[in-house]
Amino acid sequence: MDWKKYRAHFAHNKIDESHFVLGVDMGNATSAISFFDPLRRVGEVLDISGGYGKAAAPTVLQHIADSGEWIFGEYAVLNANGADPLLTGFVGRLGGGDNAAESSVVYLKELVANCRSINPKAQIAGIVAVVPDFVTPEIVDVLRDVYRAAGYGDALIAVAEEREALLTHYLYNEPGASGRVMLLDFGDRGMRGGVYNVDGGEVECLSVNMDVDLSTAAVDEGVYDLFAGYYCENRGEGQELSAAETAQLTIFTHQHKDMLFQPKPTAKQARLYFNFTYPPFSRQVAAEDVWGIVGPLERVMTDFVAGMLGKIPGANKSVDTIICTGGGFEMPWAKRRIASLFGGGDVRFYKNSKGILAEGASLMAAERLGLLPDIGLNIIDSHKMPWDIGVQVGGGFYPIVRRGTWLGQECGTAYFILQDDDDKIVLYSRDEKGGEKRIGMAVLGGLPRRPVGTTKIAVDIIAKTAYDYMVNIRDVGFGEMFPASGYVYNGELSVSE
Amino acid sequence: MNWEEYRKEIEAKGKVPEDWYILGIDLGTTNSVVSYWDNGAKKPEPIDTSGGFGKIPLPSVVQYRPEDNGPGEWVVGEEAYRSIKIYPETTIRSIKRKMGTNEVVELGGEEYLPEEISAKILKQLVNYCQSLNPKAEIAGLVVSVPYDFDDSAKKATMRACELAGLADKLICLIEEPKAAALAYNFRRELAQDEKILVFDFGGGTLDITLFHVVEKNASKIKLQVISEGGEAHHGGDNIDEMIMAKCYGLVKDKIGLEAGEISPENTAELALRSREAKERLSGVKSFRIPFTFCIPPFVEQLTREQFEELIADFIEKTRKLVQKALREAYTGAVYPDGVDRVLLEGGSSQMPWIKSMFIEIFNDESKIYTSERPALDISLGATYYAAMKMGLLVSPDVESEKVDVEFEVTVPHDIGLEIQNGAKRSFFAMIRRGTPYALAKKSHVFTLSGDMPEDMTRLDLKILERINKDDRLEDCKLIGEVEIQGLPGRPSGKTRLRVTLLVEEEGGLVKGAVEDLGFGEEFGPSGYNEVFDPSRFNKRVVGKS
Repeated sequence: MDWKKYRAHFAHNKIDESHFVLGVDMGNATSAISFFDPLRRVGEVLDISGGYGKAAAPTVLQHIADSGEWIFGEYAVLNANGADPLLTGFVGRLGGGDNAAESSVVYLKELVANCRSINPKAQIAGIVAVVPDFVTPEIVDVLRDVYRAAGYGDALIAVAEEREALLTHYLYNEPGASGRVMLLDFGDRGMRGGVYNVDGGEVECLSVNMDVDLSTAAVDEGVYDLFAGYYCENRGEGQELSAAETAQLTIFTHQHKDMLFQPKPTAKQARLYFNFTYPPFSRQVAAEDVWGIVGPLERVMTDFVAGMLGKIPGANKSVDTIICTGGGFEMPWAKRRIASLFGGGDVRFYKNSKGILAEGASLMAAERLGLLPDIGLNIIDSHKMPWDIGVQVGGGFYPIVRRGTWLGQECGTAYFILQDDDDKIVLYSRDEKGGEKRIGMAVLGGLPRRPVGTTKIAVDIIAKTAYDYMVNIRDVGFGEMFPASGYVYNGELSVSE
Repeated sequence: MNWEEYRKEIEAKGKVPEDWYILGIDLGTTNSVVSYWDNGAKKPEPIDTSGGFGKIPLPSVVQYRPEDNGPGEWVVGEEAYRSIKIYPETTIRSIKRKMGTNEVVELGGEEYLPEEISAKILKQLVNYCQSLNPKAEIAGLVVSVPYDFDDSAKKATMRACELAGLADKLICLIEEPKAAALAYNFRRELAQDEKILVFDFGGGTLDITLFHVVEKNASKIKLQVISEGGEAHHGGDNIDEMIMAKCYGLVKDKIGLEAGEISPENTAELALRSREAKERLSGVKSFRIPFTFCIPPFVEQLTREQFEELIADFIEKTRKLVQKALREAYTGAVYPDGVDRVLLEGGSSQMPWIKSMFIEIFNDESKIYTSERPALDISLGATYYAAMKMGLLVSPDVESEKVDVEFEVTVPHDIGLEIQNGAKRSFFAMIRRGTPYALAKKSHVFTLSGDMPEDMTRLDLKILERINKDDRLEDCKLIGEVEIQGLPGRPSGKTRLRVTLLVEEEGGLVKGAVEDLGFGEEFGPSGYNEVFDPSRFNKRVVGKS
């Protein structure tokens, strides 16, 4: 049934326990789902970890070719065997092919099916899905298609940005709050943040920042390398790992990585028990090894926060409340660092930092269904690209910087093969309605002359503001016949408002 | 301060100080869980005791690591579990199964009673609470016990609290299904008159309890137990043992090694792998068990189908226990149609065959509900109960005032005395199974007779618990022996004594009293009136010699 029909139903009838109003945060590394608890009028995160109370499950699938069986989440991670590969990172690849949408449909179905397990009569009354703040409208459309294919197209009320979910959560807990709020999200794909001026539902974005290197994925990689190092040291037969050993170490890392950072009742260093090998052995983790992983990240985090505060317009660079979310803030070192940067300030961490976005989204869903009063959230943001920037290829527009991405965000490198002997790239903008406008060009003086169709270039554009762009173009060569020449073009392009 | 003094302080202050913690503890066979009352959110929150291993519960594993120069080290929880293979002979698992017995375990040359080992788990749970907040002060706690626990096991649990330094903080014990129903009620509104079957399947115990919601309004919830079944030693551990037995068979077939010849380290490896196989087969249809210690090493695949075949007798027994609980309801047999919902609780209830079994019994999938937090609910429910006892519980409806929760729980086993009639000794039931706790106070008048004068001034009472109704006297469990001294010296047959046994409403512990009623006009009542608290460890002596 369409969510609007449920809204009409709830206008005259009480919501009962079989109606599920959901917030879904299908993330690139982990996912969480929350339902609106009508008794307490709060979002409650569903335990999808197999009954052990954890809010999130890995966004991982495994397809067993022999039996046709799909394995999900934690079970899939633990079942890594080298023969049936794990499907990971598919949410981040949405819109990019590679069966990402198909995998997302399978995963989403399983995620929502958890409701039917706790209540066999469950009816999905409405869903708000969360996406990162910087995703493009095209990705949002792909995600809508995923929901439709999974059978939840009618239930999908909205695709909300993470900050909408967080601010909804904040404002329902503190109705009418005002002041400067910093939102920090430390996740698998980096650290993202924004400073907002909040005045009830009226919110203005003052500053944003993003660092893809400051990620929990970077921590995971560091931990894997550390554990693999211990393993090889014990084994003493060189550093080459077989596929089976790599699979075992990947599982071992998944199972043990958190223990390096969790608060423990004793101060002693963590000890690892390598039970998967024979004979088993144990190894105390040296404090300096852990520091080797997190030390550099702590410094980057400090710079990240300073950078974001520095971008706030005007002389007042202070914030009143700092809200920290994302799996990265389950690690005490990250909490300590942020708390120390705002010594004595109102810094908020959540026990369920991976589930808080889903909670906020379930509150948004309840709001849209008329189960909670409307807080009138309205975010004004001049830090997002209002249009696409790109080039024309074969008569069509090819976007390089996407509408909806943050200013200053790295949007990925585009590669082109020049089709004539011209030595310039013409840049266009494309607005929401598809209207294209020539905005300037980069003249590639000194680019080596080659036969037509054998000059390949890499193009990166970073929008400093909606009107000022940094353009970087490099010659990447063409196969073995024409190696890269080292040619680089760096230029700035400004357009009038 | 004891918990009652904390309660008074809370009442006087009108709030709970930030550093005061009200806890609910599920002291489980395989895993234990501690939750605290979050007075801001007005709900319990579990504490992650895994040390970052990805699960909230603390494995109920206690390990002693001997040291060459020192007293040795005690390790409790996940680290102890993960290092079983390194310390196989000094690692204790599933101690709950021995609670209430005098079976000691020997570690480092010392003998420990089960409650002493349990106390170490309790201490570790409290340590985790203190790692959450170093200034944490435990204001009160409720500890859960299986419904089917006998009196001595409950008393051993209380003793464990005492040994952990929590005696004056212990508000009461709570029966596990009661805690599970309570936690569920606060998340999913149970309806008036609803009948809900709680299937609480843990590592060691299966409790099957049928509740009837007899009263439900904004300020009060009353749940009545109308049937109780299950078995004390029927849980996930039994399944691990079956897989392990299969593993022994495989080792023998492949490399000719008998079970008794496998080293303790490798036996521990098999135990870990057996549990892993059971857990993983809940999410995958086949699991490859590696036998890395064998020469040559080999891998054996176990499919879910083979697994369910392996434990077919266990599944069948579970089915019979469910049917028995329905058949033997105190209010008359309940048919599956009369049950509104089945709630699957406990870590072991995640196994797919459980749901299939219920669908088969009830022929209606829409009645089978799985708890959102099956492994945590008992601790959460115990915390709700603790909060209620501390005067903090409010209804889930945020607009209502404080709420009262009332349970009409029934006595799970017959309680009585050993009596001698001539040469024949027998069990005399005073409180019958199924008697509501509120009514579980029964007296019986006995006339004292004997050949010797001292037979008239003293009396030995043996208080027993009959677990199954067909058990003989020798099968009954001893609750305790009491020696009644200082009775008035009268001729044989001229002393009438009223012996009273009662089961306490909170925690279900057995207490008693003895009163001299005299004998007609000839011998008036002497005023002799003594109460007693039986213990399995030593004979209680009451009255003056």
